[in-house]
Formats: sequence, structure tokens, C-alpha cells
Amino acid sequence: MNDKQRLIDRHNCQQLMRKVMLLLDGQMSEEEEKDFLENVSICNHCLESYQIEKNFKDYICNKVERKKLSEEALLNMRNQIKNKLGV
Amino acid sequence: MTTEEITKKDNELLFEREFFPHADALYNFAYHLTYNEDDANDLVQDTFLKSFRFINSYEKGTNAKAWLFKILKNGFINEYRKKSRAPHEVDYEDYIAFQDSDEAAGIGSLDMRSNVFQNMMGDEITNAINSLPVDFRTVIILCDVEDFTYEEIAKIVDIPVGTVRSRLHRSRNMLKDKLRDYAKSKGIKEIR
Repeated sequence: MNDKQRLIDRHNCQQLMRKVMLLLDGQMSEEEEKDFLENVSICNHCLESYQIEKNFKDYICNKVERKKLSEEALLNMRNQIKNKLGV
Repeated sequence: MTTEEITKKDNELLFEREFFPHADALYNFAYHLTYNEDDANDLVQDTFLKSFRFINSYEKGTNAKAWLFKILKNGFINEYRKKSRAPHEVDYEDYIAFQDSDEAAGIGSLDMRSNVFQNMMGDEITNAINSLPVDFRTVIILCDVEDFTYEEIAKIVDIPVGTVRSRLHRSRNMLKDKLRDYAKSKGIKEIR
């Protein structure tokens, strides 16, 4: 039995997809990540689900509005801390 | 230079090098907690003042960002939430049925790869996140926007790592549901 056949035999879509966010959130070790991606690559359904979750994560990362503190407010906070520090 | 002057100088450098660089991230987090620019400003200011007060409990060169976020989160819980206009605590029971359903586990039929959809998503993602109960949007912001690890989030929010993971899963499912509704309302293509 070759390696690919062994992967196919032990493939479980549901179990694999439970781990997808661990990979996308950077919570897997290098070895776990390699194992996950190998398993995903042999199943079109998992590959598509993985891609959708990845896109979703990317959308959140890239498109959510990021607010910035005004320069004036930061300057005020700096001055307050300097006063507290006595410098 | 006296010892006192050296300490003052060291602390000034600490603020400049390790604390103030996180001002924008702290403000962004505060804004997503409060939806109000003045309240967010107050929370950040309060966070820096507290960091000065507790400066001896911070170990230089460690994770200043997580330490400051924890101070801000605690400030929000202890002070802001007490105000009458504060958001309500999460009623988890309201969400259990949805969260644990298999249907909620994925984006489902929504075609997330559509260019049309990508172009429409900016404000909607922000609005959808802001409409989540505060405990749910907190983990999304910390993980997806600020890139904290599960372990760091657990320390900031003061919950076990396993709860971080399940809360993130639930938050994303709720978010997907809101975006799915939005997409449907805009007539964006769904595939089955």
C-alpha cells in the first residue's frame, strides 16, 4: 500500500475540518500543519472547505475597520505619563 | 544621576519603546468594545495610567501588548460595563442551539470566492462583528485582528484555552450567519 492510499484510507472529513481553524489561527506545529495539508490535498470536499475557511479568515483580517488613536490624544497621554514619571 | 533619576529615565524609555507603540491597537480594541470614540479614548488613557501604577509588576522585554490588553479588558469589565449604557453580558443559552448545530459549522453555500462579494464585505464585516455580543466579538478581534495566540487570549480574557477555542468557533459561526443573511438580502449568488 503506498503513502497516498494510506492517507485516503484513514481520511475523515469531519475530523479534519474540526482542525481547520487551528491551522489558520497558527496553533499547529510545523509537523501537524504538514500532516493537515497532506490530508486536505487528497479530498476535493476538504480542500474546498479549507479554502472557504481560509478566505473567511482573510476577509476578517483584511477588511475589518482598524481605528487609530488621534495624534492629539496620544500626545495628551504621553504628557500625562511624563507628568506622573516626573520627567 | 541619582538612582531615582535613572529609574524615571528607564520608565520613560519603557513607555516609549514597549507601551506607546501599542496605542493604536489598544484604541482599536477599545473602540470595538465600546463603539464610542470618547469612551475608547478614556479606556486607553486609563490603561496607560494603570500601566504606570503597576509598572513594577511588568517584566521588561516580555509581552507588553498582551499585558496592556489585559489591563484594558479588565478596565472595560470593571468600569465601563457598570455604566447603564454598557452592553449586556452574553446570555450563552441564547446561542447554544445555533452554535452547536452542524449547519452552523461552515459558511455553507455562500460563495466566499466571488469578487462581487469581496467588494461588498468591508463595512459589513465590521458591522457584523460589532453586532456580536461583547464576549464573542472580543475573541474575534484578539485573534483575527490583533493576531494573539489562543494562550495569550486566554490570559487577556481570563478563560481557559479550550474556552477560547470554542468561543472563537461559536463567534465565527454567528458571524457567518449574519454575513449569509446580508449576502442573501443583496441577492449575492449562493451555490448548492
